[in-house]
Amino acid sequence: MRPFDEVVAEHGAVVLRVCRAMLPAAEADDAWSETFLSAMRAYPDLRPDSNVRGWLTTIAHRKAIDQIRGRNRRPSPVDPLPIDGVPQGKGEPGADERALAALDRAGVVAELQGALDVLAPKQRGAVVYHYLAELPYAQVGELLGTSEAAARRSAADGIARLRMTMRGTPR
Amino acid sequence: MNTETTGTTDQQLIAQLERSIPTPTTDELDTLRAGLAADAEREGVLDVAYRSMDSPYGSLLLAATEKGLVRVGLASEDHDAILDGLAETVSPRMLRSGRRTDPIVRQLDEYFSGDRRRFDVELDLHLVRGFRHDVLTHLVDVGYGTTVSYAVLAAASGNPRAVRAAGSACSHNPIPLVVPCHRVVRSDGSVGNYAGGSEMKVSLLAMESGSADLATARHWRRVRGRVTEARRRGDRARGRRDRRAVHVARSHLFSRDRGDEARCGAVLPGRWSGHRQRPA
Repeated sequence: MRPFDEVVAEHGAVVLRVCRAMLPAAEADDAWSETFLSAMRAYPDLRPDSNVRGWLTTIAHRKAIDQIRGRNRRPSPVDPLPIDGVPQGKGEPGADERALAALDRAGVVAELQGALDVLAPKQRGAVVYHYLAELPYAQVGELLGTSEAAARRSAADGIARLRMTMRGTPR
Repeated sequence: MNTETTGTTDQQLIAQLERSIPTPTTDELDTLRAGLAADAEREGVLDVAYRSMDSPYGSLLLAATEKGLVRVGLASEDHDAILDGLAETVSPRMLRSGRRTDPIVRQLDEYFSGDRRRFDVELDLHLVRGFRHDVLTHLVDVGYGTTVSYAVLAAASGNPRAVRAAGSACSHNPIPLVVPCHRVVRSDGSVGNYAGGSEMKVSLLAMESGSADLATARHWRRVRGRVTEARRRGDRARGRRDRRAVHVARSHLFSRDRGDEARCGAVLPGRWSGHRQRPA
């Protein structure tokens, strides 16, 4: 088995890009750290023939879910102090729950950014995991809780939609 | 996907997509990796931390477990092979990190510049078993600027007739420099072999003798003489002769540098610098 440091050296950049494609920057860094910490803990038990990038992406995907869930638990720094135990002035209390629901349904973060903003959650996941993480569609489907064919369709739809959007923007 | 009509366009799109996601810089990844090493250390999952350092004898590899320094790789060795070996024999949960090994780097720098005679680091000798382990635990008592013969070392380690095995223990020493196998020479006075090459061994001994304590050197010459004498003189029973050689070698090894502290177990207890106070 290779030293874990070599795994970080080889896949660290890809996993960070996947995290950044799924989460805002600060949360992406946290997700990256937690992904590799979890991976390191389990590393001695990893089967030798495993697809390491797929394994890491699966963990990163779960950490992205955890990040979204964590938002509900952690008070953000701008939240006013609770008075008599009641949180004050938190706009749209259902937003995170809705994001979480979307995430659970499609397996991706509903919050969008960059060029991926235009994509539906499932399309985004399929595009990111297939094209950025370079996973085969079978694995992408597994990750998103859908079939290989559905994952392939989502990615194709996502690419088509991206093409439409990007045609309108100067490069 | 219909690659006939969309292949090139898809590739352009993927390229655009990749550009739209900030590409991690080396600095960013280095920061994250340093944070990961700190997290892993805190969570107790960093089984082996390692780093390289420059030395007058080329690049050295230092690897430490939670217990202490477990491996020093000399420039003559294949460092990647050493790391693969540690992944097999200790644990693959390894990260390049200086947190554990930086103090050792400082001490080695001081040693190479002639400012340090003893190393004050925890050692993890659990990879070495049996007689070889005994040999290395006694070898740490051989002081700066002195040499000891394989025969004396074998006697001190409990088996005066295992001279060859003592030599083998030295040649397989996983922690050269810090466990000073370069201070073990042949009984005829020639320097013998060294993993880093005999030139390095001669150079280290010359550097050390340049500032060696003459009284210490005299002491070791006396020890050598007495062990030889003990082995020759006890001519009745071989067992008795051997016991006497062990006793002589040990009494000198112990009396000078360490007192009569226990030295058993997989890992050396506490710090082993000479004339030390036991850590609380």
